[in-house]
Amino acid sequence: MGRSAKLVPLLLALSLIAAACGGNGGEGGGEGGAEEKDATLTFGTSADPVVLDGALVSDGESLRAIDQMFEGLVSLEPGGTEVAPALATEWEISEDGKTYTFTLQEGVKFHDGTDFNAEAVCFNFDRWYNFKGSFQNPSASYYWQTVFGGFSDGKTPSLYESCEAPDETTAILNLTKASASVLAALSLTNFTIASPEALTEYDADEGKVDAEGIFGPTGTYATEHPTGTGPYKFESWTRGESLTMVRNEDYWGEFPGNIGTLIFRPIAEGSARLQALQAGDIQGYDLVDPQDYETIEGDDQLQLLNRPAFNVGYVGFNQKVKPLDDVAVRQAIAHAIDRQEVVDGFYAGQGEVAHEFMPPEVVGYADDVTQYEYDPEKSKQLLEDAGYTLPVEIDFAYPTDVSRPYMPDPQANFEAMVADLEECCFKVEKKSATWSPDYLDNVDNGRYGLYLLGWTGDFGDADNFVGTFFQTEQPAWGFNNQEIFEALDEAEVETDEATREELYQEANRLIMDFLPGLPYVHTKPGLAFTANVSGYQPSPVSLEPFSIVTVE
Amino acid sequence: MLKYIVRRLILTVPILLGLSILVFLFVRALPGGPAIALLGERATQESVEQIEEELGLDRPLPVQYLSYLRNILSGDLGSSVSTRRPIVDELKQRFPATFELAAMAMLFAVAAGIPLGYVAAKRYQGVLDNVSLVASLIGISFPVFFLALLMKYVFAVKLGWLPTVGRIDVTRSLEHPTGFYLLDAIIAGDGEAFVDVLEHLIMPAIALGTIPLAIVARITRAAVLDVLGEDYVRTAKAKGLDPSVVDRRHVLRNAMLPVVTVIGLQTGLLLTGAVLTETVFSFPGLGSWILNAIRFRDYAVIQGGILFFAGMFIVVNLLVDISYAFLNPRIRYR
Amino acid sequence: MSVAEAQAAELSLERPSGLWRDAFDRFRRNPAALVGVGLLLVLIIAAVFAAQLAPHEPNQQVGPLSTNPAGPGGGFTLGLDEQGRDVLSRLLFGARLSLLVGVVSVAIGLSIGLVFGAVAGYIGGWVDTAIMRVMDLLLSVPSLLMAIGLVTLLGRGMVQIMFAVGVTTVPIFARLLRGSILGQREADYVLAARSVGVPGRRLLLGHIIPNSIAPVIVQATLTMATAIIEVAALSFLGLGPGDPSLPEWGKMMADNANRLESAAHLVLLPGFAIVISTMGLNLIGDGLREAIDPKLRS
Repeated sequence: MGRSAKLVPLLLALSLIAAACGGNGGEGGGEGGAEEKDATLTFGTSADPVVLDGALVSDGESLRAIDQMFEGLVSLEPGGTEVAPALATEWEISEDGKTYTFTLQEGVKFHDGTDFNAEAVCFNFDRWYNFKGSFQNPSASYYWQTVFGGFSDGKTPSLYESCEAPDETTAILNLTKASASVLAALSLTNFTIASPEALTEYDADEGKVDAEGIFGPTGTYATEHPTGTGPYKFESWTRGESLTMVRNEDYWGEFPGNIGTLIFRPIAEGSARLQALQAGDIQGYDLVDPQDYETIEGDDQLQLLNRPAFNVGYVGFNQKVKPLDDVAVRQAIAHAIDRQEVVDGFYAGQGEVAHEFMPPEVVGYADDVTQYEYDPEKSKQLLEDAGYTLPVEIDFAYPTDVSRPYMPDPQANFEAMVADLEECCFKVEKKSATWSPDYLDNVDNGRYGLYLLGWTGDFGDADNFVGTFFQTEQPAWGFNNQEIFEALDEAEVETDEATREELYQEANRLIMDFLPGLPYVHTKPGLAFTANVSGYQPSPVSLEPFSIVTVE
Repeated sequence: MLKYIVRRLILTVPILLGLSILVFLFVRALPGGPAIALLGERATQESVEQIEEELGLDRPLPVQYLSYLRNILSGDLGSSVSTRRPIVDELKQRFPATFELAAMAMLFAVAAGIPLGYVAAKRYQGVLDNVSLVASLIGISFPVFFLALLMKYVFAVKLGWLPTVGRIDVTRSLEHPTGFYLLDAIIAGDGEAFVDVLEHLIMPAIALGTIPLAIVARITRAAVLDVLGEDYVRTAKAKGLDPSVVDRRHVLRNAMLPVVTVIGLQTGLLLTGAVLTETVFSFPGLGSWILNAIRFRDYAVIQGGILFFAGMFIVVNLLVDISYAFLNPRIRYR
Repeated sequence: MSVAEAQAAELSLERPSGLWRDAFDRFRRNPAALVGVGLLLVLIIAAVFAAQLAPHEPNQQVGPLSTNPAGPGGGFTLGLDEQGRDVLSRLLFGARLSLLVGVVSVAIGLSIGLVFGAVAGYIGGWVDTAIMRVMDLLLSVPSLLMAIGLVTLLGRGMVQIMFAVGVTTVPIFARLLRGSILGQREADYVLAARSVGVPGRRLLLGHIIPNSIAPVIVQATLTMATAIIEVAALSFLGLGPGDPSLPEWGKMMADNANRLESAAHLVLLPGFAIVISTMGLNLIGDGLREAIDPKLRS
């Protein structure tokens, strides 16, 4: 489809520009002007990837790296959340919604030189479906389980039925039932296609469980030989130091950028990444601390980019903890917190106050949910009318040792909110724990009353937000509201887009009346680059190709 | 001598065994578990239970300990939950980093500390003495990470003299046959790489070496003062021996004894300091590794890492004791 | 192993009694020690009169919330923090906490260490061996790692943190006192007292411990400085006091370590407050040591 059609004129234009520039440029020394793609870019990440096998990871840093080297059947529009062609040029969904027929891109080769074709696609799907033992561990195959459910052993039902390869360029995916979100989910980096030969040769599915019970992959596929079809291929990886990728010379698609060597360098602290950028040790980094926005924007050697707001930060209420089971108390909390002040103060102009548990960009967002403006007097009134004596005692927790796009500085948010709550009509017992695992453990087991948390979307679907939170009873929320559960169930399987949107809007209205928590912010997470980098296209789901980036 | 070493080595066995039990119990007593750490926001109760079962965390403690001990003895320290790599591989990569850092820090401390202390003692209560006392005082009073942060800000960010993070310029391709980057650079005969690695070591080593520097200076001063007052030194000088020869032959040599002790004792401190320094400079060594393991409940790493730390500490102290014999023949080993 | 212990290695363990007056005179004539006393006095005054000296409450919001708060000058002498609170006021109130941290952790380490040391040194034999092996074991784990472990285990209240830091100093004091007692045990006056039938317990509490205590006091002063630094280090590693509003210096500095570029005063001011207090304690410790160690007399 579109991609390859556009390729020729674009390359032509590029080669003309490059030739014109090459004429008077002294350095570089490449042979062909158009092929001059020998720039190096070092990008500061917050951590090492775990492993480089998309099927086995769920953390952002692994996905970021895998995304440069692998491609799936479909992808998202650059900078958006609309599904776009990738290895599949087009697709057809059967009437009953259970059969997906993909037409594949021709002439694509994996990094090891083997052919990409329908059999390779089915090989990958079958591999995922046949995961055994520790590969079924949710920390490994989280996204398979989220999207497709169970495995071939049949312990839990699976959405996946089979994959057929009638010819080289046609892959047919059969599902056990209709699903509205499968296509969008296939854009996830977790479902990118790897070389069957490399998977086999480097024992991608081999592993052993040691006496401690800890699973360790024994194969070297995911650490030394990740092999996809993407614009970059794996070169070397020294943990804690650098992951180096080089341009795939035989890449089938467009490669408009000029970065021939791409290095990901883990630097844990945001401020340390900024310093490395200022000192020239790196040329770009992700997850900029809001307090550094001003510094970056004020420095003409640097530039700040922002991703669209595709997340939500919220105060969770656990209704198992009294008096949070009383909707009047929840409303009083909502009116007592000055969300605008928090967002203005701590998000350096890159945040907006949230009124729902999903960002406005996602289909299903309702414009007319109940809103809770800052009004401490109203809080007092609500509490007194419900028969409470002020101040009402509640407990409230925040995580330490963490910075998330939706809460770059949890402690600052927490302190400001506590101050608001105490000023109005509550007495707050302050709690905290290190993010991972203590804090998350406590939240998931319902050990806190109020707590700070949030979510960044994986793909552009309402189910990925409100469905994750409220479709079943969860200890973190501590409520059992069948009306909401059913509304979300119904919306999830609806395949008609307009109806689906209405159903989700209705669900959002229900949710915000019930007020299971208080969403307070959608942010536009920041990325920083040196001024000579251009073409980077921030994406809502935080995965951006470097093959379109140019360094001067 | 050999017998002494063997006896010392045997004595370390109960210590290591006791430590392995302590560390094992500590790890099991920690709240939460690796399962949640693995899953992050996406954890559900179900998935957590599944992982714990897989990790064998539902077995009785003694059973878990014994199987753990059996593995250690066979040289298998387990695998890291977060990187899914064997601990032994991780150690191979991270030990050289920390060793290089600690060695440079110690080199700095000794190379600057001994002359400083010596001069201070020779000019007892003079200006130089006071200057060196104040300098060492400042060294001791600064929190390591505060010093590291300030140095990094001034020398790397503002002045741009030194790199801010890491062990090496990552765009440089250098083979790492040994993992000791300085050594690797020499093997490769790559002078530029050697300088690059050295530049990456300067600030972390100074930050880490400041406290040992201060202590070495103080101890040298005290020791030299002691020795200067000894009869045999006075006698030698009274007999008209060249004072510089007396200094070299008697004073420094005898003063080295307490200094060596302190250097040995400082190893533990260096390892502690390494946790902080490595964090500030994103230096991929043992300190930051174990810190993260404790944060993220990486059981095998905590256990393997702390045992390794302790083992190193014991070995260094043994070396210190042995070096006594060379410095002071009066000490006999039975 | 800690800074303080290594320093104490310099101390001579044996000393005749009755030197306290002399020591005090020597201390008084040592200018460095007096500077230390001066610094500590400033700290104590700040701690005691924080409420009177501070222009605001430590947790009162007097300016806007901001990721880039105003620095010193303007309406607020030492600027504001991200919650719009007055930094000067927080520093003054923080002096209380820092002093508390130093004193309490050392008190914990000291009392446990002294019991172990005294028992080991006085009883001797296998009890001594057992206790000292355990101390060796504790010493073989870097103190900060041990503190991190304990805090992870016990939680992040101020009490738990002070306990964790205190525990890491136990082996230092135990070893020191044991060594001291071993030295005293064979001293002439002890042998004499024993020969005239002074009971063992009275001998230990009435004579041996008091005579062994001088190096312990020096050590305690120096350890107090390390304790303050160690708590700051815990904060830096994200394991500091759980209550975010506490104006503890280490926590204030560590929380803002990432603002060196955007709001340097939030890092530097508490940082130097810590340096000043540890410097004061170290100067006093040094002065005390020189005062009670006749060997260093010129």
